[in-house]
Amino acid sequence: MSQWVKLNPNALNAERRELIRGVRVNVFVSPHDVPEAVRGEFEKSLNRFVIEFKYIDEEPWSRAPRDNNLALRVGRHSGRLHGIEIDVVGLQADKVELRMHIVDMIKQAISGLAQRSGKTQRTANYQIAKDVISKEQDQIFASMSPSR
Amino acid sequence: MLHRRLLNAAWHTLYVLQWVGGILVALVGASLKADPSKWSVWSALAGRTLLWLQSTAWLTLPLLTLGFGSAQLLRRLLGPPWAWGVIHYLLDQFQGYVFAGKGNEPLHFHRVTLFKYRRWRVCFSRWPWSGWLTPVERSGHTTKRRISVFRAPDDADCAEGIAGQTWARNQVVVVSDLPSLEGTPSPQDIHEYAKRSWVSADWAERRPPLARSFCGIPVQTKGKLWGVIVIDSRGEKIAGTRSVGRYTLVSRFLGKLLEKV
Repeated sequence: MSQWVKLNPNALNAERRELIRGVRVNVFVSPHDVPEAVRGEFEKSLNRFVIEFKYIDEEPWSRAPRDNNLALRVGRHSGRLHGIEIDVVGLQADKVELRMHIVDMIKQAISGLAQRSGKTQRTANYQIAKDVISKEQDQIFASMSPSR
Repeated sequence: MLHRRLLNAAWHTLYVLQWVGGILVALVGASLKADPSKWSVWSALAGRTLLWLQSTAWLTLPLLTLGFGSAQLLRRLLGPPWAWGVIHYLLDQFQGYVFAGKGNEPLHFHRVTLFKYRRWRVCFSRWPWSGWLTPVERSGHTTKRRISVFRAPDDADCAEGIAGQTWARNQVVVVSDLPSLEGTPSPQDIHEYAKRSWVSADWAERRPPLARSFCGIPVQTKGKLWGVIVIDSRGEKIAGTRSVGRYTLVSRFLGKLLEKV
């Protein structure tokens, strides 16, 4: 099992100014939408590389396949992004090229999730997930190889 | 309005009643197998009581079972007193973290209130089923009565107060530098206060609130929005970053407890 990479919630959840019914206020993303840790590991049982996000509260998730090579794990109640499953074997590319390709694929899949209609969509959570993957990709993809 | 002592007493009373009910069910059930003629030999009263128990068992057993089930449901709705005790302790700790360095000021100047979302409530209101945020616990030991209830309807634009807006937007909302309504506030101050805290001017005028800054934080359990926490202070500002950071510390325990109440 790879180690969880601890994240800094304060750095991910910056204060913003917004207008609510004509009143200018300061807002933050809900602390429940900010992951506190992330990890990536190759799951032999699934034969897929899985990126997982850990939040301050747990919930059951559903698997939402985006295509043959990528599926998202979405919180059943909240719509938060709990994980990403990637078929690295099926993608057949060398390691460096593969990582860049995967990061783009993930970002596109998360953007697709944000465009999905439904009251439980969590745009801010998806944006944070994309930022985390971009910033922490070296640690997340360290155990991507199926041979490890 | 918080009547935690009363609610805790009701929980304990129901607990005792459930025990009594359980013992009665066992007695009535056992009496069905007994022979009244044998008991009459020993005592006429015992024989008559046994006969009465047997003849009314068709009614008493279902009623006692129904009562047992109802008591269990009510106890579940009320929540165990120990859980409320720990929730109160956590709110006190949270208040202490957020307002560290203000220990020389009275506790009620800086408070933390937990509101629970309910679809409906018993009240003389036009829309009792529109969705409400009702106070269930507050830090400290004073100012626990007459806490306001806020509307949290499906139409998010009509959500009332900091609590309502936090619920509707599901994000942390921080409001600072509200005008002081202490003493005899001017109509302009009342109007500005009401506008910037999403309440009606009538409401602000009737019971002028003394808090000048608020921070609303959504509370979730297992991915579901449970309610909100509202921090209020008589100070002009509340540190939003500090509040969110400290909430992350207590929420892990708070979430587990709220699953039980």
